[in-house]
Amino acid sequence: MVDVGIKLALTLTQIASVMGIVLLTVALLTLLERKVLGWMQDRMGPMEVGPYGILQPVADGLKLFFKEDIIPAGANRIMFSMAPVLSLVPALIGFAVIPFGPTWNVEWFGVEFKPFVISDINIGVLYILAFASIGAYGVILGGWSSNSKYSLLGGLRSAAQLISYELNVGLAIVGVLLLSSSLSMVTITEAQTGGFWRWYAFAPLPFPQFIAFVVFIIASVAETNRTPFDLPEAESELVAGFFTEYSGMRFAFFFLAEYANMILVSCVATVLFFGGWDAPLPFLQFHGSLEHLEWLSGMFWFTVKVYTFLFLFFWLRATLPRLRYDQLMRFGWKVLLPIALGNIVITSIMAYIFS
Amino acid sequence: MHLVLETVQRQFPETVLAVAEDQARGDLSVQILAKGIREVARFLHDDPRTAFDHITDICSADYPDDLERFEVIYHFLSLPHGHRIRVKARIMEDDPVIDSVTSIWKGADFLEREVYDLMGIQFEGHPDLRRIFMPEDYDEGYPLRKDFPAEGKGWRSQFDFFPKYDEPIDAWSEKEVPQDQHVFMAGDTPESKKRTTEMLLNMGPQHPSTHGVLRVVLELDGERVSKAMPDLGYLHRGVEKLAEGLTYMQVLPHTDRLDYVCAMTNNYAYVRAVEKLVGVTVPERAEYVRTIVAEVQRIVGHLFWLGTQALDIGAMTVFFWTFREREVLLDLFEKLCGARLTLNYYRIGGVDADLTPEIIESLKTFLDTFPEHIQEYDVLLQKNRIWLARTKDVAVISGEDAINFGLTGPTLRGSGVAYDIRKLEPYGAYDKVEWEVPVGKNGDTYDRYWIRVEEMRQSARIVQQCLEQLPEGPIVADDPKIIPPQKTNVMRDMESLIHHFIIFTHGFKPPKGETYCATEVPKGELGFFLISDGGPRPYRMKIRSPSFVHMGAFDYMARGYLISDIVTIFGTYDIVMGECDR
Repeated sequence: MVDVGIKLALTLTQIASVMGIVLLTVALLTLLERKVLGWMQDRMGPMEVGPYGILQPVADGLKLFFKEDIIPAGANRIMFSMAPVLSLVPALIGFAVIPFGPTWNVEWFGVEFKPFVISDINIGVLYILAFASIGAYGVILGGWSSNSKYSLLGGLRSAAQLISYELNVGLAIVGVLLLSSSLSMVTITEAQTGGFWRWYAFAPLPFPQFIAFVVFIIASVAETNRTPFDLPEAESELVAGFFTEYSGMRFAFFFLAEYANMILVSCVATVLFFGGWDAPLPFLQFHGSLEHLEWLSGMFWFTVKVYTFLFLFFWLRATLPRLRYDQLMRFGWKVLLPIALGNIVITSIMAYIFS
Repeated sequence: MHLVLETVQRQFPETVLAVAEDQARGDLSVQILAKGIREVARFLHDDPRTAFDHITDICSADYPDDLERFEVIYHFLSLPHGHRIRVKARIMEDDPVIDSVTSIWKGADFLEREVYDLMGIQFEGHPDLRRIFMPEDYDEGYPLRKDFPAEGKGWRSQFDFFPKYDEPIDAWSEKEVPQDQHVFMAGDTPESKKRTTEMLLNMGPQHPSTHGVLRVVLELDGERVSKAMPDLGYLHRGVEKLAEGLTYMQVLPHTDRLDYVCAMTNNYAYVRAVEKLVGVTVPERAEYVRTIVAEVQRIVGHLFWLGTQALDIGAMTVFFWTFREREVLLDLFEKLCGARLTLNYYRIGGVDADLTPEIIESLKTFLDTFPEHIQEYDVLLQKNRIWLARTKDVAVISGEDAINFGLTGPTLRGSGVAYDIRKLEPYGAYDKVEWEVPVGKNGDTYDRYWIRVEEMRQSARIVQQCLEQLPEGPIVADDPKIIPPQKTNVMRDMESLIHHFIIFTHGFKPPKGETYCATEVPKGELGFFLISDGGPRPYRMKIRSPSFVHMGAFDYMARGYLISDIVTIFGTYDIVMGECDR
């Protein structure tokens, strides 16, 4: 009984700390995005709140928190209230299977647990894909229940977009699964340790998954509704797309979900293609007499990789115009899908030959 | 007599009442019987000797004392021959009906609706004669008639058709437009043959990318537009009516507010029209300074356009980069005339102040780096696959159609028609410098984009040459009847003070007559048509604004495209509502 209690307490602590870090990162991202965009666009970004504008996320949060919560006339109240939650929860829940650091088994009060991953389940990849699909319901319901034509169009666009691009995300991952013969995020990371030449994106044998990685990143950008695939919320066309009618905290939920999703796909890309917490060169990891500090360098490299992907998201936003709906569909089905399928075929043949 | 006039007179000996050639101003005009308008218009359009293929403007004038009270005035332009003609027809007050020319020029649609809205003249055979600027159920009369008071009839809050803020919602919902007048409703009755699956989407007037207060009602089949109905007039201020109560000089500040993005070129268009009416010769230095300022304004306007068009399509950075350059030029304008947005620098007969060496220096510095900056925008856009996919083959209009709709400026040149007023009827110093007119091929959004970017390069070239050639001399014409004395003299000697007082209280009186003067502004052809009755105020002033005429082709160009393309089309017209609604 005591064991279960301690286990529960430990898991809850883990969840709380991961959630805390993720939400802090989201807050940081909102500031970082505006700053990075500002630098790319010859301006300063937010400068007023706090020194150098660093308290801007706090101000934004407070503002949204105190805003009036409006439910438009004719909206489906239950669905309308449920949509933001349906959008945010799946985005946050995915972090449960991400390994942030080395796979250690720590024994504490007679209970064994892994400090750097909340739950090492053997279907981790499927789990993430499944919850990402549920996230689409939030967007679609939000668009549909608002009783606004702009929201409806945004919801419809996102329904089509999320389904098409989820397929590409799934297919791009298959190559990695073939190579690692596991669905567990922890096992996949461990299979890549030992330097960047062992990461699946670069590992020369049996077949480098770099193309799959590119497909994955493009499809992920589309799945997180970011430029150039931000059609569901295209400002210049659909005002704000599916969340046009939302305000206050409900709006903040969608906003949080978008950023949490960005972090999640960055984490997944890191784990699947870039070796997770593994250092690019072995000597950059604490080892030998400093082995007990390995988690420190591991988490450092994990963070660096994730932030590189996040920077990529910002960079795309500053550079590219938005695709049109028909072009988006054509690109997804006629370009990305064949590439992803081809990658699976080649990878399986190569894996068969070299195994 | 001019060949065209002769031809018309010989062809229609009965319909044509009088022909006139204004030698000094180079205007041709024909007075005809109202019932023959369609016949004459058809002849003018079709006959190769006349070939007036481009409809410039339709306007009307009100002469309450005459038996035939209203005059409908048509302006046509022949692109093959390069001349303009003015056709006038008188109609009676008790039966203000004239045949529509929409079957000949598609661009006449909006122009005739405007005449109907503001003067109450009915056009027989017009497909959709509704009010265009005023509210649809406005029944206080027709604002441009002389018996309509210039201060209007009542206040906004007193009109029935506006909901009162303090009334509960239910109280006014019944007073809304009756069901049968719902032009924007797709048919939904069972008897209706029309498909009922189209969704109506109201875009604007509050929408992030409608460039002001434009409203378009879209009939959608999925995301595809099956019909687009522009609804104008949210920014209608009645500048033409206001001008009738102001002296010629007092009208000038109102022109800044037309196209508020490019105020300088509007001023230029207006002062040129007045100068043509009065017959002032502008000194050479002033002509150069005007050209320089107009071209700098063109660069500013195109930078603004490029930024917003890119922003509409989703490319955010271009917007900030173009505004960085725009800022430099606005600072220059601030030094030149003290304002940054509603610039006012041109004066009748010249300009307000001379270019200082400091301004010339900073302009030269700017021009040195400007080509590099254009290169930067090109890097982001010109070869960007997404940008190409979003602009190529979007909103295609053929050259013939573009002319038929009366499009002008880059929108027309994109379709391969090399019509630029600066080349056709050179003014300022445009015939003294070397430059080219960029012309597109396919008539799509990409070509129009390319033309405007190219025009920025050409404008920089013009400014560069003008600065090199800039002659010395006065900057205002010496014509005491029209030009007020120098401000410094006014405070020193009595005669100048009296002179100043007379000009600013009485205004000057141009001779009786009328004239149309077109100027190439960044959006297209901005024309001012002035009728003078010999008094100090214009009897009638008509502004031919490019944005308004372009909106007439909106439905034609938008059909079959997607919602995303609608915002691209707004952008490709470079529409500014201040000018469109006037």
